[in-house]
Amino acid sequence: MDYKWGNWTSESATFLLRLLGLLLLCSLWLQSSGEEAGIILLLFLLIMTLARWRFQLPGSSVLLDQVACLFAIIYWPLAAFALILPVFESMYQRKPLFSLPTIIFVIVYPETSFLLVGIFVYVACTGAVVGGWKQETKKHQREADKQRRDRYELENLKEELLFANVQATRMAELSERNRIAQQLHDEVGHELTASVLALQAYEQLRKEDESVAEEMFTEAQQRLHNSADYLRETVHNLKPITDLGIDELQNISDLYTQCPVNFQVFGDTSKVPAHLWSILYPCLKEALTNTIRHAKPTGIEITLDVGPHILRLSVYNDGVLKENSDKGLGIGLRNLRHRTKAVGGSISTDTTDGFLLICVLPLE
Amino acid sequence: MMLMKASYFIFRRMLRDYIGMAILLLLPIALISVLALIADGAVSEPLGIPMMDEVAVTMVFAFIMFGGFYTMEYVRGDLMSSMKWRIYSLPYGIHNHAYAILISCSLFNVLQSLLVVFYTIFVYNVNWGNLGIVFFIILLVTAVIQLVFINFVLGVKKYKTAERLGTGFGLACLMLGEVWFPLPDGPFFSFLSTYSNPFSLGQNMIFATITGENIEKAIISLVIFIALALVLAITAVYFGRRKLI
Amino acid sequence: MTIFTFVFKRFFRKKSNIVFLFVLPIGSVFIPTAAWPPIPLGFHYYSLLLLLLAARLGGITLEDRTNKTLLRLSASPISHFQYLFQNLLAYTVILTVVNLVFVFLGVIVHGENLPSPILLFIIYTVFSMTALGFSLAWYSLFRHMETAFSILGGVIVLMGMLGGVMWPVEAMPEYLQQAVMLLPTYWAAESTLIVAYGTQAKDLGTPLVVMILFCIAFLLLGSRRRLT
Repeated sequence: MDYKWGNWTSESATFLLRLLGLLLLCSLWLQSSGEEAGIILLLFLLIMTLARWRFQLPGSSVLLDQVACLFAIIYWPLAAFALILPVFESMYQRKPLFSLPTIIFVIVYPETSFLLVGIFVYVACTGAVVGGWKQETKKHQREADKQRRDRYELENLKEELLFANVQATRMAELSERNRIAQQLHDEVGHELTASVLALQAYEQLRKEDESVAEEMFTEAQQRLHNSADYLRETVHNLKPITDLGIDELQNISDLYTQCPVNFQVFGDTSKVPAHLWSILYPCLKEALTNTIRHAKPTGIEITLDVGPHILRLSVYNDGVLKENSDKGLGIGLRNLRHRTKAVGGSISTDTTDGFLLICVLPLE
Repeated sequence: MMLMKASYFIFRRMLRDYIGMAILLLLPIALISVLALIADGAVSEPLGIPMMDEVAVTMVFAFIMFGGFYTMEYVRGDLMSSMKWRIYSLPYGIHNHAYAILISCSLFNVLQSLLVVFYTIFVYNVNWGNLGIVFFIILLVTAVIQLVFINFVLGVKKYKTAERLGTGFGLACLMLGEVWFPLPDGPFFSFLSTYSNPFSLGQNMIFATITGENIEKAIISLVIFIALALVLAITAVYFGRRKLI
Repeated sequence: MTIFTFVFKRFFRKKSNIVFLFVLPIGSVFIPTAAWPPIPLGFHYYSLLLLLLAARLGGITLEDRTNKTLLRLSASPISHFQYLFQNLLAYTVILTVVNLVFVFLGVIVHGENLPSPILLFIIYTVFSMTALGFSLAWYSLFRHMETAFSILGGVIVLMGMLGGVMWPVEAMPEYLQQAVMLLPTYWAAESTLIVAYGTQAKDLGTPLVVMILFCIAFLLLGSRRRLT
């Protein structure tokens, strides 16, 4: 049988020690002529031990054991050795005061031998050690449980954050759309309507050849001019300061100068929502960083396919893996995988021939 | 060749069966040890051999009477449960498997009995006479018992009934062999207790080898045994043809 | 008390159980008195019979475990304690009735030769509880009924031999005479001997206490809930 020492717990040690104590007492009884008092005591102690094994007895129950032992001593003097069991139990439960009767007995009993005292001390130490072992195990288990719970909570939190990220992107998009619509309606719209009205008036006035016509025309021109300004301003406000979308991807690949990079885009990239871009950038960066770190490529091929329903980014380099580069996923990739999972996509890598990273994300 | 292979593997399966070992090997050893505690030195009256020798012979044969349960179990397990469809699908005759079970169970039982015999020889210095003859007798008795049990299991519809029949057969043998209490006097009962069951027949032969007396009784027993074995083998084939197809 | 009544239904549904329960004790009533002990032999062997009967009865718990009844029970609003308690109570009732019939028949058959039937009845009742505890503890070690029962047969016979039921303990070597006091059968045999030799009733105290203690220990060992 394949027995592992690691399987030893404080419970099994306790069980073994109790059994050993009982067996030793039993053999002691066999050696002497303990007769009936001995067997009653043995059975009683066996019952108490079994009860301790089955149920959680209070610490004071060792007093009962000691009373039984002290009674039995009247009929069977060797029953003094039976006190080792209650001594062990009281120390095991970290309640040394409950073994007070034994201590008093040792002092009072006229036939206390050095052997007896030595055995009591030894058993007390063993009980204390095993009890300590049990408490230690319990403490560590509790700690491990706590940490595990914390980790689960953190993971939950992360997932929620990622989800919130998507949600926030959508919210931002909507509010922006709202703002644009409002601005167009409030400023540009009104000006344009006014200029249309002015132009209609001008047309009417020109037919009648009034002198105000010229004035009306200037006003209409002014209004159109204004609305053009407003429009430019609105558009200018919309445009972010940094590059977004495909340009940023292009940027990242351009910044990589170690070897020639072939960057190809298929499909309409304007359909890609912003929160997906925020995954694609780190994805590409990670792939390129990994390439620098682990391989010596002669060329890199980056392809971005945007289909009607999915988006696929593949980064391939033909370089062989360097020695001693570990096969497992790094933290960066693991995080990315989490984020892609949160939006319903996936990341897969293949190292059989060079290094290939494919990131697939769904489009709505 | 296939027969040998199958027997070998059934034998190995039996070696792993610790419960059978406990009942048929450890229990007789324990019983003999306990009985030895009180038997020390006494001499059995009618035969003039030490009490211990008689106890040993009785125990060995008593447990051989129940050794047929091995055959029963394996016939049921392999040929009468869902396992049988797997065995039927092999390019291997079903009767071959039945023979293999019979052979390996007999051998295993002989081996167990011999272990008990050696235990009594080495620990209690029991005189068994010529060991070759003892081996032959045990082999014969075991084979007959296995045949009896295979007849039970093949001839009866329900396994439970066969099991009860087996237990009843063993107990009846012991009762007729006067293990527990003497049967009443009279020619009929004395015939019953001498020749009516495999237990007493085996005992007759063993006591003959030990004491060298009653040789004609032993030879009659031997003849009965061989006849019994032939009859049982034929009925087993008959039942097997009906049941195992 | 559903389980309590159900034990009777289940146990007596099998005809073989009824036969087993009554034929063996009634048969052993008629065994005459031998050279040893001075009591009809059946009454001395009765403790072994009780062990066997208890084994037969206690098999119900193992059966419950093997066919997953215990698992289903654990999902019902019945505590394990209730289950055990009602089962054991039913077994005790059955065995007590058997004891009563046995002793009663003994009085009719043997008359004056049977010393103090009341004390014998008390001894048998206490020992039947011990036997039930023993069978409970025994079955808690096994998974298969057949195995447990067939090994138990051998163990009971061995215990009887060593415990002084088959022959007096004094026939055995010195060192064993004290060791066999650790067997419950010794105390059963001892108590029947005390009754047989007509010693004072207060000598019976120690064997009865020891038997009760054995019973508690066995119950503690056997009452562990195992679902597989």
